[in-house]
Amino acid sequence: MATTGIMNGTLLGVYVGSTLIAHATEGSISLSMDTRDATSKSSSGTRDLLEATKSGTISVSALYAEDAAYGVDDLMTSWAARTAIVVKFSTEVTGDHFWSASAYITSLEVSAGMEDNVTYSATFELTGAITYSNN
Amino acid sequence: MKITLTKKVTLPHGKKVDKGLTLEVVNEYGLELIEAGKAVEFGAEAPVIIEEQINNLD
Repeated sequence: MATTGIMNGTLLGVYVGSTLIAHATEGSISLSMDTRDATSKSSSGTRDLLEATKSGTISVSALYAEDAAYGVDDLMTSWAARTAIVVKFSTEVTGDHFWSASAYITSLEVSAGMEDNVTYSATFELTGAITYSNN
Repeated sequence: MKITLTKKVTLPHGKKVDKGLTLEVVNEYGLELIEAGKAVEFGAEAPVIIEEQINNLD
């Protein structure tokens, strides 16, 4: 049964190749569409737009742990190999919606402040069809 | 779903992980591992341990 009421953000996780990115503190998906400028002398002084490429990114921030089931070490492997990976933004609750697509890691940042948790963030640039469906 | 591995497993991204590790995976993959006898749903391993303890009471 799908989650009811205002969803708690903790439920939504970023999965890469079936495995949840461990110790995540933040996750997000951003979808956008480019437009073509079709403005002409016939536009009566206003801008006319037409549809163009759809795109999206999934981002995640997490606490760094060497022994994470999926962590920086795995992200580094995919980034170094420049291979596409399957990313899913999901609660994995039956009936809930999820987003899924192939993606490339386009950004990976690790931060280590004095006497603070080591953290990292990654951005996945989606490629091809973006699936939006129900678990 | 949250699972505990009962056997050494190579995850889809190629990483080899040891028996006993608890991790969260997409439901489809979790069920696949459970059906293959390589994992149990998180928490389901506890009765086995209790059973072993009972068996070892003597």
